[in-house]
Amino acid sequence: MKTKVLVVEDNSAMRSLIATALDQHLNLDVYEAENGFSALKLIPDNEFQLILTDINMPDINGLELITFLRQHPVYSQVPILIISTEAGDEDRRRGLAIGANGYLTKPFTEGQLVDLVQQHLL
Amino acid sequence: MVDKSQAKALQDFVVEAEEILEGLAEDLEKAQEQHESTGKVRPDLLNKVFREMHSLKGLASMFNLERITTLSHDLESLLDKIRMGKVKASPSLFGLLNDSRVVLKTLVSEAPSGREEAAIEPLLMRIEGEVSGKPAASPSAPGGIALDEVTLKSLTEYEEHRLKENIEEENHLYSVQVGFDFSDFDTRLRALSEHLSQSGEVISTLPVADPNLPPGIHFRLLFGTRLSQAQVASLVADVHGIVSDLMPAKASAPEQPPLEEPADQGGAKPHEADSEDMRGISNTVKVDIEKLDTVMGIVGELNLVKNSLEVLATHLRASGGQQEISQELLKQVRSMDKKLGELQRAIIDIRLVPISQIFTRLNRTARRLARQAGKEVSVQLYGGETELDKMMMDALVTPLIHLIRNSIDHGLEPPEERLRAGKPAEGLLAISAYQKGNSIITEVTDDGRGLQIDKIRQAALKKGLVDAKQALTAEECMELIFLPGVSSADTVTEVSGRGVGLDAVKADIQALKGSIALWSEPGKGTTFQITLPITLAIIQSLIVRCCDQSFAIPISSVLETFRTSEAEVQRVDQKEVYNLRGVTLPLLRLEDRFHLSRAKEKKGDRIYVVVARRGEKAAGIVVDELSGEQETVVHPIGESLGAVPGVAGATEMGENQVILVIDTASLLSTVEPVRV
Repeated sequence: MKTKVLVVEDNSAMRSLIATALDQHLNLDVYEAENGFSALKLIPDNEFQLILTDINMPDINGLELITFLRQHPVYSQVPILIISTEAGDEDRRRGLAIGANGYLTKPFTEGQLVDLVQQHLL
Repeated sequence: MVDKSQAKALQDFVVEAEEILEGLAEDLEKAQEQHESTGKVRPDLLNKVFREMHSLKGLASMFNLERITTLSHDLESLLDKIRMGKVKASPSLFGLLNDSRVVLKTLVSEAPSGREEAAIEPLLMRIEGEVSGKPAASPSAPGGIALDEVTLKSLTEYEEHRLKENIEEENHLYSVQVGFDFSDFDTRLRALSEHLSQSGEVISTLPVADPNLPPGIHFRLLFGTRLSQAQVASLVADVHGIVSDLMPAKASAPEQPPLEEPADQGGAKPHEADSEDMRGISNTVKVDIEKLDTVMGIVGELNLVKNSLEVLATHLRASGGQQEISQELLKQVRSMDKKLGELQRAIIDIRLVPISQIFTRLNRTARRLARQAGKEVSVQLYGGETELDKMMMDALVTPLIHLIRNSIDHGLEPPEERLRAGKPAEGLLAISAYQKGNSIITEVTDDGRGLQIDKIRQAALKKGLVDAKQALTAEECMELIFLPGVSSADTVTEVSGRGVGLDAVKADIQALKGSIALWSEPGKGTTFQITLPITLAIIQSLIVRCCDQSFAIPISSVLETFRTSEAEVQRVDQKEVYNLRGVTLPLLRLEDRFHLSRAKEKKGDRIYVVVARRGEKAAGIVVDELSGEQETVVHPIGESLGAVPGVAGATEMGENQVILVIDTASLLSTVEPVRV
């Protein structure tokens, strides 16, 4: 069975870029959530082994999602990676402070993405 | 990271980017509308615009689209500063954002061809211009709010900024906990957020993972609003929301009943652990001012008890018995007297708040009025740290807004007229406050056209308020604008535009035991100066005696006192006057005003005159004796005496004696005060 990962990102082009790369290079089963609510819906029925999330999203933001996951019995230890930007360095710092495991800063290369995810899946 | 299927990916990019730009166009239009009609843009809308630019930038950077990335990056930084309150929205800013959007659209359409030709440099320079030279807003720590650590830590920088803004705007902050069924929580939560946003701001939405909660999914919303806890509770009643006040000290108003727990929990239960992980960030409490008044009243009563003790001790000593004990008792009474004085001072100190609390509001109002009047005005505020009694400060808002409106409507000229007069297009409106002795001075100054004395005089003539033959100094003419007739809209306002309802301002200020004065110079500007006592609760009084009774006259209204004799009192038109350094000072006698009678005929013809002021003018109050100064706590008196003109209230003296405090403004209304 393939390893399940979740990509939470409200930008569909960005989301599919990430999903395609992870599928092609790491042969992962990639689930996509367009916002925090979709993520919350997917979380209980799928035991994701890794979650990638954007911070700046409508409804609930990445930090709130991370807080939730860290309190969740199943997800308290699952690696969480932040997809951030140069401008969002303060929020990225906050995300790491509440339990995210790593981050990518846009723009990133396919190689950087694959390396980071691989590193946290081991 | 695009290489192989680049063409297909670029096509995806264009579709997504165009969608973002369409959303941006729509939102910018909405924002501009809001800004034009209300002077500000709703924070959630600003944040949405920021997010759109943020998405575009992230996307473009992944496709190595250099120009779109650079431009959207700079725009993103600019929008970030705007949503964080560091750069103010302005018409020129909206112009820039719209121009940028158009260029971005062109660049996006050029992307599949591999060219990016539209020029971005002029826009980058304009963005630079908007960002630079604007002072960064000083950060303020969120104080006085009991927010649990988990929620606090999951706030983004922007959400934290919104939280501070809500605190700054003195909104209430509530935590609203709701639970939904898993199947439809997203639509129901969005509906709730929208519902709440109509009367406030949903600052953050935190999903709660707590195994103790019933099944379903639970959220804790951080909600900033003007509404009371009961009102918020009723807004969320149908989803069984649980509201807790995060600024409990603010909620001292009794009209907020304790929140009832819904009988049917409907899947949601209060978070039991909440009270334990709540922490107060600030060590201040807010107290209803009425409670302070109660405490002050008790201190007054204690003073009476102390006076009785003093009398007892004195009697004991006079009776010759228990010398040691009576001495000690008197000593203790004096020490109690001192401590009571300190207590009183400490309570008054609690009532004092910095005037900056109303400055923000005045600033906002001034900007709004300026915009409505089509004038360019720079509002400057000075002395925000000046402290004033809370009640007085609140009562000062209306007259100050009146003066600000007056300056903007009638004092400051439209930009073209200012330029013609050799002044900068932008007018200056300064509001300043400072302490002077036991008074607080507040000034509203503009650099406008000044009062048009001739027209004020004509208006007063028309109303029959002055005699055509009467020679009036410029100063006296200016005083006329405080008269009710002159300030009516059909006279001064139409022709010269000055003096709308200034009589109302004067009445408000006098009700606060204050006075108002003004200076004006044609073409240079006008200053209104309001003088108020620091607090109404305690005043320094001059104690006078007349017909064997004592009265207190507030020192703030006493200009001078002097001793003279009955022989010096002159009569003009049946009225008593005194020649004070060449000025004919009208006199009034307390025994006449209060119908006092003398037990025995007065010995000698020595009298004292207290020169008391009413506004900028004065009259003399004739009394028998001056018996010193005293700090007095003014108590309102019963309704039976309440309407007596000339009486402000009552105060305690030693020996269980209660004396009247004179209200000079109304006392002097029976004579015609003069300038001295």
